[in-house]
Amino acid sequence: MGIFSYRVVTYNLNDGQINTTIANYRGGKLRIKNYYPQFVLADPEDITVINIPWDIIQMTFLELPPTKKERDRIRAAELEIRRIYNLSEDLIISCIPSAFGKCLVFFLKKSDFFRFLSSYNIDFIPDVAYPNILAELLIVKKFPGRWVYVVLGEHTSGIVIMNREHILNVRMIDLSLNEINHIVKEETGFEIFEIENSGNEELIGQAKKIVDSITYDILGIIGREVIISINTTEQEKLSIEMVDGISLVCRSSIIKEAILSAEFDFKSKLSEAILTLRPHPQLSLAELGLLYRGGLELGKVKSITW
Amino acid sequence: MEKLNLSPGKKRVLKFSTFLVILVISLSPAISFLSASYFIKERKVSKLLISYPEVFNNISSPNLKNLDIQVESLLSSLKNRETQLRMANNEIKKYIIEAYKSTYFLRYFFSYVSNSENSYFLTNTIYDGERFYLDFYEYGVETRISTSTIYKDLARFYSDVLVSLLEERNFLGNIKYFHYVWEGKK
Repeated sequence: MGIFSYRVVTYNLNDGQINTTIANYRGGKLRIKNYYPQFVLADPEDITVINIPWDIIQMTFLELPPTKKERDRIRAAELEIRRIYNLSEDLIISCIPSAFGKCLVFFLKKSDFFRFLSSYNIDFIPDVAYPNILAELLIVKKFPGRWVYVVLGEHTSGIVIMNREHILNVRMIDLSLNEINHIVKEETGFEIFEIENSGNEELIGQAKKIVDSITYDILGIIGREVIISINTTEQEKLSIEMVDGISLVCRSSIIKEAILSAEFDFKSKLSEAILTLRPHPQLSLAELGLLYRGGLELGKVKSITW
Repeated sequence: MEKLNLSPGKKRVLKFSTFLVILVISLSPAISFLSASYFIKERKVSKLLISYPEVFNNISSPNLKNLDIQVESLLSSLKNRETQLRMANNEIKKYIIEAYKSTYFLRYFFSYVSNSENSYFLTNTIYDGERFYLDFYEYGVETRISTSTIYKDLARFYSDVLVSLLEERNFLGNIKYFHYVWEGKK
C-alpha cells in the first residue's frame, strides 16, 4: 500500500542470475524485507532498480550550455553525441556534472537496453537503471582531493578516479571476487563469504593462506590498471604523485586484509574504503548501492537496516 | 552521481486499491462530521419531543416549516376546549343546584318534621318548577315550627319565602292543630 510507506525492489542482474531485494522505505529509512536469489515480480507501485553492465554503456565528457531544465540539457547532449559518434538510433542519455564545468554524459542504445532486459526475461521497464561499479561507489564515503577508488565486485571490478564528488575516469578491470572465491572453494569446499561469516578459525586461516598465495597476482593486476587509469584520464593530466589516495572497496575482509598488508609500490597511498551505510553479510555492496539509489527516488536515505 | 539514471523510466502509477483507500481516508473526516452533526441534531430533537408531549402528540403533520402557526392553532383550540369545558362545567353545576333546589324544600320539610315529636299531616304539595307550596297540619301540644329558623333556612335557596300559620285550633284535650303554609320562589 503506497500511502505512507513505499517499496523499493532491486534486481541485481549478473551472469544470468537475478537477485531480488525488497525493502520498505519509510521516513528516510529503508528496511529490507526479503532477499531472493531469483526473480520476484514487483507491484506496479514499487520503485524498481536494476544494474547495467558496462559493456553496453558509453561515457563521454561534454561541454554543455547551462540550462534550467534537465530535459533541455539532455536534448543538447543527445545532439552532441549524435554528431560526434554519428548515431541515429534511439538513445538513453543521462548527465551528471563533472569537474571543470563539463558534464559527464552516459549513454546507451535503447535497443541494447531492451535486449539486456529481455535476456533476463524482464518485460517491464524499471524506474532506475544504474551502472555496475558506480552502484558500489554510491555507499562509499568520498574524500576531498583526487582519489582512486578500486572497486572489487563479485562479478565485475573497476577503477574510478574522482576529484571530490566528480568522476574523472572509469575503467573496468578483468578481476572479480568470484574468481578468487572459486579458488577458495576448490581448496576448502566453502565460499569465502561463508567462511568469513562462520567465524571458524581453522577455515579462516586456511582461506587466508590461499588468498595470500594469490595476493601478488591480484596486486599486479590492480597496480597496472591503476597506472593505466591515471594515465588515460583525459580531463586532467594526472600522475601517481598527484593522487591523494587509493581507496579499496571490497566486501570480503580476508581479501582486503591480504591486499592491505602486502608490500607493493603505492602501499602508502592505499587504504580501506569507508562505507556510509552499514554492510550486511548477506547482501553485496552493489545491492546495497542499488537499494540506496532506489531510496533516493523517494527522498533522503538515512539508513538501511534488515 | 546520485542523479544518474540510465532507464527511460516508467510512469508512476497508483493502484486502484490505493486510490480507493486514499479516497476513503480523505472523505472520512467529512462523513464523520456529517454523521456526528446528524446524531447530535436527532438527540436534541428527540429531547425536545420528550419534554413537550402535549404539543407534539397533537401536531398533525411532520412538516416543521409552519411549526409556530401549528402551535398557535393548537393553543387556541385548546383554549376553546377549556372554555367549553368550563361552560359545560358551569352548566352542570347549575343543573345540579337547580335539581337540588327543586327538591330541597321537601327534604327540608321531612328532615325538620322528623326531628320533632309532633305529628304532621301533609295535605298539599304544589311545585310547578318555579314556586313551591307546602300545606300541612301539625298536631301537638305546642308548635315546634320555629318560623324564623325555617325562614332563614329556606331563604338560603329560595326567594319570596313565606312561612305562615294559617290556623290554630284545639283538637283533642290539650292537643292543638296548627295549619301551616310554606311557599317560596326558586
